Amino acid sequence: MISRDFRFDGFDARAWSNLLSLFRAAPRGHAHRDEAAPSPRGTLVVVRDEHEAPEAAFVTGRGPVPIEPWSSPAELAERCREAGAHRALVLEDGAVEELTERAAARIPMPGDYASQWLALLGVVRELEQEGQILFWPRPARVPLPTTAMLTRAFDLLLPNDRAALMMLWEGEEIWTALAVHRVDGEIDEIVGPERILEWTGPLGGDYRRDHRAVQRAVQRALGPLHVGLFAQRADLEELLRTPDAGAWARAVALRDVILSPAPPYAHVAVGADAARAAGRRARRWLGGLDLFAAMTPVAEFAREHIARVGSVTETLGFNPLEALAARLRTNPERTDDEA
Amino acid sequence: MSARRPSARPSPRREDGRPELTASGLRVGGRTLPIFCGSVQYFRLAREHWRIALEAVRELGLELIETYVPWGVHERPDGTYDFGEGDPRLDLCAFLDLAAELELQVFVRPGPHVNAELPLFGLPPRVVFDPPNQARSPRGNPLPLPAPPRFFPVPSYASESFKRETSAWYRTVGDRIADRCWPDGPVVLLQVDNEAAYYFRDGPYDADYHPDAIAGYRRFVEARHGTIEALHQSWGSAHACFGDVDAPRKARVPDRAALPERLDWADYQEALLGDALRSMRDELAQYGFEGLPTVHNLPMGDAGLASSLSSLRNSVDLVGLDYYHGRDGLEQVRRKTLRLAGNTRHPFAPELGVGAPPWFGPRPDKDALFSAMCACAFGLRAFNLYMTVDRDRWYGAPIAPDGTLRRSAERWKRFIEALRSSEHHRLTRRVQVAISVPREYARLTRATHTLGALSPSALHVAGLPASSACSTRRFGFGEAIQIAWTKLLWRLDRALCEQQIPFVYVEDVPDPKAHPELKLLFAPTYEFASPERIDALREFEASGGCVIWGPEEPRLDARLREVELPRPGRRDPMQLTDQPTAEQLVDTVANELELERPYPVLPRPVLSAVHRDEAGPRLVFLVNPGAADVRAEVQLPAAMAASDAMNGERFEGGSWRVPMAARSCRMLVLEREAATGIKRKPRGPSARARRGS
Repeated sequence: MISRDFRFDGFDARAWSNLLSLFRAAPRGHAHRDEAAPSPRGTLVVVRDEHEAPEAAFVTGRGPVPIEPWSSPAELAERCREAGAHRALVLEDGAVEELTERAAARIPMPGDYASQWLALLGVVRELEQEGQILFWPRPARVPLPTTAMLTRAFDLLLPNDRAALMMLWEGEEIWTALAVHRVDGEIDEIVGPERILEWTGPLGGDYRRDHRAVQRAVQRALGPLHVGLFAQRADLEELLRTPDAGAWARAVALRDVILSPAPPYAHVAVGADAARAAGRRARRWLGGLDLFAAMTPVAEFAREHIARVGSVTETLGFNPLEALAARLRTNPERTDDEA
Repeated sequence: MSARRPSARPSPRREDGRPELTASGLRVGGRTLPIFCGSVQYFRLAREHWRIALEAVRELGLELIETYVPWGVHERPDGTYDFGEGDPRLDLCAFLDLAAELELQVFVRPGPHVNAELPLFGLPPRVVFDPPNQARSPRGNPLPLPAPPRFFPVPSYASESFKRETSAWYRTVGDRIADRCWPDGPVVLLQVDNEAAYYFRDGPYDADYHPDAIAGYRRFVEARHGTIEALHQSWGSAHACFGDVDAPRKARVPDRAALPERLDWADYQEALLGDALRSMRDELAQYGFEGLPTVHNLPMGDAGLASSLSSLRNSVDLVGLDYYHGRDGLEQVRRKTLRLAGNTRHPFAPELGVGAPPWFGPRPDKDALFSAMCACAFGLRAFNLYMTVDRDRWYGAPIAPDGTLRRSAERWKRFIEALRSSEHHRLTRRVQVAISVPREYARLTRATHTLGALSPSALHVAGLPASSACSTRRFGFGEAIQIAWTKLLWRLDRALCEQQIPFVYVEDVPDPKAHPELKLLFAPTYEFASPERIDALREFEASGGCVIWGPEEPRLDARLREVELPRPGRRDPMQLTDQPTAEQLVDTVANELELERPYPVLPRPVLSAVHRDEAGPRLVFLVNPGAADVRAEVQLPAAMAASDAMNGERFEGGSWRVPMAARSCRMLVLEREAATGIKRKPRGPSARARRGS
């Protein structure tokens, strides 16, 4: 997925921090802090001996904690509560060594980074199934994708010899930017605003006009663009976190977000967002009659005829955009101080 | 391979020979140069940008530049080398000559480990993927490191094959640049290897089980125990000979009887790295770098590493620690700096992070500067700003790859200028108290770690105590020493901070020559202890110092053998059951010994640090680690005036009211004529008074 010789440059600390902040969850509100009991935070990590007695225990972010043995998931939940943690990872005697040894034997070296991580995750799953590693609460599991599945999903998002671009403004200033290029199935360039601005020269400060010059410059420097996204920072942050159906469609229609070029999956995603919003409104106006459901056969027809569009979700077993939005909306482990 | 090229622009030969590390910096050409260094990686910059980048570094106020010399970048797939013959960016000699022309000195780091976010940490694939060079797991597997952009099998510090490869690389580097060492060229400082921590596979039962490491372990055990009977007695084992000895391969320590063997293994892991670095240093000397001061940098997670500052003291001239902390990492910055101040003659950060690789968390400019200022506040005297000129796989350096000064450069420039003009590199903090970090307990912590490859140092990097995943067994002792000793340290640490008493950490015992003003030493002791440390504690007391020891009187030596050990000090053992008890003890002994609390400041948690030269106090740092803005009130021994080195704001009078933003540090330069001596007793209320007792 990522080239051995990939380049990453063109970011100062501000631009990179800004970019990462887009994908950080919104902090919980102040009301949460006023609750009498602090909410559970962190993961309780317990290593057990051969008699299933705790040998060592600590909570991430805090350190060692005393812990009594348990014999049922309900008791483990109680141990978490006592330790002030909201989840637990239990490692049976020798589990870490087993993980290390099996991973060492299976990780392909040299090999592709994604394949290497998938091999490691595969060993973790295997040990979980063998009862040597326990996660509590038990997370929902989807099958691990294969490298080929990941490659197919990646092919859809950013085909070979193409670039993807995002540039965000705050007022008239560039707030952050990211251009990514793929070749031979791997990302070979990750470029930040400093370098992109070298390619474009001075910009006017209005993203609705500047985006054309930026696109041209990036195409010249990196290659044909597959997707470009241009917006004000606040608008995109809002969109990434909103649960509102139709928000993306509205933003694109009003040119609060400019998608240019927009690949088929972007058109369909925005179209589906609009359809979902229309369906919800119609249901309200029509006293509960679900127009969107009635249109399902049409939607199915469209989906079948744009088969590649559905493949990311099908391949991975979940919709990554929905998962991202849900994740970004709140993060129970993050406080306002971290914002 | 092309022939050695003589220096194109040799500096004039100086009469005073090789550079020398002193307590104030680097003595070069008859003057002492502060080690304020900037990292510039020639092999990643366009050749046409070298000059402007180096000039920008100078403009920042740095006279010393640092660069790695990455083996894997210079070695071609066919085993020959490119030093600019193919790729002009690789012309190391030209880069050094340009530095000399610009009157910059150079700190060279030829690896073999360089990391630098390069594939395979800068090693050639030929070397990394050759099985005899690879470190081994307990079951003999190679050890993959998940460093982007690829997992790779880490090399073995014990492998004779890897040592031979390294030797050939050092010879090549020597052939190319040894004639550019001072006084014939700009190279004044040399780093041996990099972040020696088994390439971050440093779990105590994770590595290294390479056959050469096991052979070394057998020799180590034989040297330690002498006879097989002595080994049997210590380990309770029944080996026919030392050749039968194997390393422990399971993380869990079943009982007390297994501990001596585990402690020997932990000790060997420390010794192996020290020996490897010493051998590399000698190789470099042999290939033309003889006489250059040598340094080494320990990575983040220092509290959980196999090596320590003192264990590498005989391997290089100066050991430093690397700093990559966010604004929430102040406690780690403070503690590691106090450790450097207590154990090295010139506290040095060979990598003081400015920016970070993209796979670290976000690290804003202000975090980097805050960390740097805090480190200097607590006694860091020398640093290498890593990176100073930005490059591939990095963000946030103050100078862009084309030499353009970024907006953060101005603040760094001001800070460096303030350090220079105040001669921070030759100032000292008067310290009368030290806390001992006993190496035998640190080894026990590693020996009882239960998380395998997730090593104690990795936990420390994650902000946890290195002892977090230690077994909670007591092994027949009164408490789980492997966890208890660090808790004791932190209680003392917090109590001393609360009392605003300057202190340092010393590994085992302090060097009296380095710390002549020490009056008080806190020394954790449990049922077992190193007899040498106990003797040193008694010597410290015999020479007029005070030793606070405990909670237990040792009756076993560091290998858990029953021995007659004298009492570590005259006083009764300390029993610190909780934090108030620790504060009570510190308050009592501080008053008894009339310990200095220079320039106390309120409210807590603001801290002050006073730095002085022969004429008296010169700098006062104020650090607010809290999440709220405060107005700090500094109590002064007399009316005096000072100015903020960064913004010029002036304060004067018998006390100063200084606005402090949340998580900020201010560097106040005292106006010399007013800077007089300091009072021994604080004007502010004592801890006891604050508690209302």
